[in-house]
Amino acid sequence: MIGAVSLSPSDIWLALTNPEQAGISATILWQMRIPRTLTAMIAGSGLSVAGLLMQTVFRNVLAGPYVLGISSGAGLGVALVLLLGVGAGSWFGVLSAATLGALLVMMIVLWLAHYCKSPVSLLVLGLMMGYLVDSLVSLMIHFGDPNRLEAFVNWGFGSFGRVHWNEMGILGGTVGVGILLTLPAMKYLNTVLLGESQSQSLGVSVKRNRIIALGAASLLTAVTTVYCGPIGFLGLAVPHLARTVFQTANHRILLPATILCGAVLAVLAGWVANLPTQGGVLPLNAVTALIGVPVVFWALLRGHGRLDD
Amino acid sequence: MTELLHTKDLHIGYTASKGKAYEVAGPVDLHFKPGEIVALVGPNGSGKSTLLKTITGLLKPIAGEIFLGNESITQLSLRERARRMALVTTHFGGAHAMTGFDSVALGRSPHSGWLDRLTEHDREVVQHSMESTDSTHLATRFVDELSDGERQRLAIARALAQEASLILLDEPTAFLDLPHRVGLLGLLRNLCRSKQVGVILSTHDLDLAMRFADRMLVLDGKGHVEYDLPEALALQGVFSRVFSTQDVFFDMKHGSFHFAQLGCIQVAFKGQGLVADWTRRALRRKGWIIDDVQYPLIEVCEDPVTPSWQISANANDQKEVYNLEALLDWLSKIRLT
Repeated sequence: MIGAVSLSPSDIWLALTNPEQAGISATILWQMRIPRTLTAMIAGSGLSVAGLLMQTVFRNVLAGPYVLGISSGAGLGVALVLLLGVGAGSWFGVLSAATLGALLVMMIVLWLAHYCKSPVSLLVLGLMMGYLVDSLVSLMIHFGDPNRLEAFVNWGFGSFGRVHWNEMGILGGTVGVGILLTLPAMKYLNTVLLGESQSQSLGVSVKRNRIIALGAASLLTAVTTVYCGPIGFLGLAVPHLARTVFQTANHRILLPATILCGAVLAVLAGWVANLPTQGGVLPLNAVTALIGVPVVFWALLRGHGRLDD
Repeated sequence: MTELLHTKDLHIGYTASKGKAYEVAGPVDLHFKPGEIVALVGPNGSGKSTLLKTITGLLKPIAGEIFLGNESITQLSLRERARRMALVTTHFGGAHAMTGFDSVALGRSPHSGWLDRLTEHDREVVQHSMESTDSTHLATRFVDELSDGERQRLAIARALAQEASLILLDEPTAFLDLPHRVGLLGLLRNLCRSKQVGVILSTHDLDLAMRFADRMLVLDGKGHVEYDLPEALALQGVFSRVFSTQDVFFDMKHGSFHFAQLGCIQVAFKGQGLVADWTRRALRRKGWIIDDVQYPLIEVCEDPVTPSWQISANANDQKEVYNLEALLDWLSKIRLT
């Protein structure tokens, strides 16, 4: 509930209980602060669950929502609209282009996942996809209209403030679906920590569940990136935080814990980004890294996420 | 009594991407009863892991069938297979913040509902499995902080929690020191007998396998398979044939492998008891062969306080020494002359 205009507790109370009389503070609260906080909670939990899924599927503590290049795909779509002026350059155009870009990369990755036997080679393929798409974006920046660059760079900073009430349902619903998709894969997520052949020998169909988990992670990453831009570090840091705080590797506990920690940390990051009352908002990406990096440090140095073996 | 597992004309190997099959070994005609340990031995690349993966269904056989009881494993779903067969691999995974109890509880997966919730009964089975493997003290520890031996115990507890009648272990002794290897195989043998489960394990530890296994399956690295009692395999010369190299030979008399030493000389030996046994070991280690020759002759005087060794180079040259070192020194002088 922090922003450029400071609202006293009584303003907030009035705006909540009797919006007609509260005037400008009601507008600020209902049209900006509440949607922003809700967006932060939804996007934060979605990205964090995506990070958890990637870390478990690839059994790699450095994996995050962006390892498979999905946000790069969204970036490619946005670059097409904002830099090359494809479409009208409207917010709706940006949204659809980002969605198409993310879906395209997601399809390619899931298609690869179907044919790829080892998760390690899939991880490398995903990283390569990301580099490839990023280089296309660089080319567009090089050849694109310099005057339009600012809009693209701003999108790349990430923000929770772009989602309006009429879009909240799509964001929240898609993140909800993505999280629900992981529930049937619960046994896979828990057993695959022991290795894929061990998981299979415990009666779990590894190949099918791997695609379900990656599909859910891709969906969560795609929808949050489309609405909020690429938001770094949350997805990588929050699963570590959840494991360290809740002292467990059991996804029955870890999944809700990650949702909770992700929502809280994203709201905090949103507040910090909006703290400077004069100079507008800080780039969200810079704030999440400032918060995320110490969290990863702390979690790793606490010992229960050691990088060895 | 019905057999726990048998394979019929099984050929194992890999199928390459273009559908071409590479056969590693076959035919394998494995059959055994509850309460038995079978050890798979063979040189690297002879197909030990391939066979284990094929039996658990991780790899498809090139030809032939595998039966659990009376049912072919191809008729069983993944979940049903997991209720009857447990696999223990050496790979422990990067499971951070996983407790010992949770790692054993994963063995209940083939029995629990889709959300992986543990019932009271599940918890009892997990608890009991940990007691059987003497690992209850590891319940609240984190798996990534344990030693290899402790993780191995938890992995076996997990296999027990799976309530499978057949447990397959891939190289369970690989990362353990000798006392822990003996302890692990002893534990497996006791579990086998008391719970009437079957155990198949692959190992490079031929000596230990011969001591603990009820039967051994030897993969010779050229595709042939021998399956029999360890002693029968030794008598048939299978171990010498498969494992001997230019420098290493299988000692039929003692059932162990030795490095061939140059210039082995025969020595006559008299004596019985502990001191005599360890003297024989020392002689073998130094490359002496105990045989029916007249000289040199060693006689052990087994005195509980001060043992002594009477040594004769020939009828006139005799000597008495009071420690092993002096004996070996003297023998090496004879060898030089």
